[in-house]
Amino acid sequence: MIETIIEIKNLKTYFPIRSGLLQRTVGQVKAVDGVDLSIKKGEVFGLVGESGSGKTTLARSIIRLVEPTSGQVIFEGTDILKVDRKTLKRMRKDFQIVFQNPFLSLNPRMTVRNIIAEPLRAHTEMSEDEITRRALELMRLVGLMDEQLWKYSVELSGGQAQRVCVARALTLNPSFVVLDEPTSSLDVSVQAQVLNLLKELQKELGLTYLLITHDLGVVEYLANRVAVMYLGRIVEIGNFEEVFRDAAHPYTQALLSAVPNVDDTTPMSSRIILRGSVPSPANPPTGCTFHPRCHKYIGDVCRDVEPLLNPLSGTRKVSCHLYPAK
Amino acid sequence: MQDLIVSFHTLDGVVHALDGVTFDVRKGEILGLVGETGCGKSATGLAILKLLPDNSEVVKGQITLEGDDILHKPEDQMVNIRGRKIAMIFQDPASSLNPVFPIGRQLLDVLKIHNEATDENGLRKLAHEKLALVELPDPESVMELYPHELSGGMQQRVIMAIALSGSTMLLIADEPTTALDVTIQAQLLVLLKKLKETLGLSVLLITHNLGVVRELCGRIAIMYAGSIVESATTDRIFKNPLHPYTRGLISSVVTGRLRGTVLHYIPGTVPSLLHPPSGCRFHPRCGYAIEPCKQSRPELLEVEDGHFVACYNMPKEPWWRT
Repeated sequence: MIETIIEIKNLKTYFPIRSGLLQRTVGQVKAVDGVDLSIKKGEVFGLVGESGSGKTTLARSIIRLVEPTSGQVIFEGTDILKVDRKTLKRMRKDFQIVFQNPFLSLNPRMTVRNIIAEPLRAHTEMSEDEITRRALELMRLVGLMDEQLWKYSVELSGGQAQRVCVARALTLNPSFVVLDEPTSSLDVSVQAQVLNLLKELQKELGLTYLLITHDLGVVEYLANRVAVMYLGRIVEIGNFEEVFRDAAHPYTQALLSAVPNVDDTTPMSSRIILRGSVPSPANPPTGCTFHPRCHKYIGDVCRDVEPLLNPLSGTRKVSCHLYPAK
Repeated sequence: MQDLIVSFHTLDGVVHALDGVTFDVRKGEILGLVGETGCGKSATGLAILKLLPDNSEVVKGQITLEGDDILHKPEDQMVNIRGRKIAMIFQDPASSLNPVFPIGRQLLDVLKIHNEATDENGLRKLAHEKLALVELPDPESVMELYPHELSGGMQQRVIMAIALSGSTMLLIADEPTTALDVTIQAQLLVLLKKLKETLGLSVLLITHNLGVVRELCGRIAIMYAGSIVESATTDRIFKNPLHPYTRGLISSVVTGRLRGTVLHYIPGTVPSLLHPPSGCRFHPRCGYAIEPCKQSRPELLEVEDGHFVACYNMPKEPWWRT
């Protein structure tokens, strides 16, 4: 039995919509609307979806960078959402995050050394000499050269800056790392380097990743299990083979079909082209939120009844009326 | 475009942005211009429309439209070409539309410029036609909307309608789908292909996405650090790329098929164009570099029928994407 590192139960994150002179709450954006999932120790869990699907909000809610509205996030036996600030700070050593744009997540007025030193100063009693030694150790680990220790982020290339972000995330030996679009702002040739590094580190240090991306190629390359999100909910979840080789949910099918692939010479005419665009999460459609765009719409049930995430086969779960609960 | 050389004068010195760019776009084809950030692909698009910033200088070269030299055309003649025969669309559709006017007004304004003789009713009819062309339903009510009321995909369709408001022959599309979601991107790619077929439109598609060009383009030109290193039919580029950079670039694309393997990448980074390397600009990162590569820039030569490569030491071994 593989150990579960993080378990998410019925997680909801709603943002209020305020309007008028008194800034009264007039509605809610249901960014994350009842998500259940568990991530196992040592796996790469891929979370895919289009912009506005709530994947980034879900990741931030898990590590409490935004406060969820309700639900539970159990990390190694403790509910992260219940602990006080002090305990949270101590726990944060174990879960870290790497963001999409390295230049926006590095302080331009700090040197690489100080960027890596910050978590050490906040969480440990290390001396300045020890900090320098640890910084160099981490830089070598992520493939940076020693002389880059005193560089500022503006002096680094995109790939190097992202390596600094990875080094900073690893300073305190976390067990769980959230990677939020880690290679999306990088050029193709550099993206491959960073992915190789992330994969190597995961193996070497036994890390668990939550990999969020819209790049299905990256997820298919790296992830063990995958969840597909649409309008704040998980519509399909399973191991990567189930989801990528034999997608069950119509949205997953359309998403996979929409990606122009260099290895794939399927003519465009055979692709599934969805109508319209993702509706606003402030005013989601009734029933199955995907029904207005669905190419497999089967009738009123889709419009009226909210489908549940039911087990399909193997480890897979799908939320669609095409697959009624057994 | 023949051997175009463009420099930018900046505070840090002269940036040699385009260093001999040569390609042609044929009638009714989609040519993909592919390269990484900073390789000069957007500058190439802007150069065609003579929209390069003031600090730029065209050192040398030739741009012709149906045999007519446009590079040296005075501004008063250029207005008859820009937006009328050649139009350009950009990555972020929201920033190409004016947020304070409804989109109908923005479309009508452009139509008016290109169709001086037509009256208001005729223009409205024309606007409906253009919106139908880009498959926006219910043109009458769409025209009343402001840009922020449209989704990204719809905004890009409006931009395309505006771009097609003249008698457009060539559409320069600079990363037209990069800012959009994949399901929306798929819709727009289908539309672009349809427009090419129904209008006989020629398209210069500027992008970094090799998947998009494989799907959409008949031919591809690969650009690196300011010059074209290889051009050929799409089939040929993907089946038998000959320039080491093209091979490296295609190999670096991450897909599920590569699961379990160590990803291929091109060592080093794209050089600064302020101080570009001597000779072939790719030589410091190239596994095939030989002495002449450091001395002089290889010319773009036709090595097989319609397959052009700029390389002194082309890899001899056959290629497959690992």
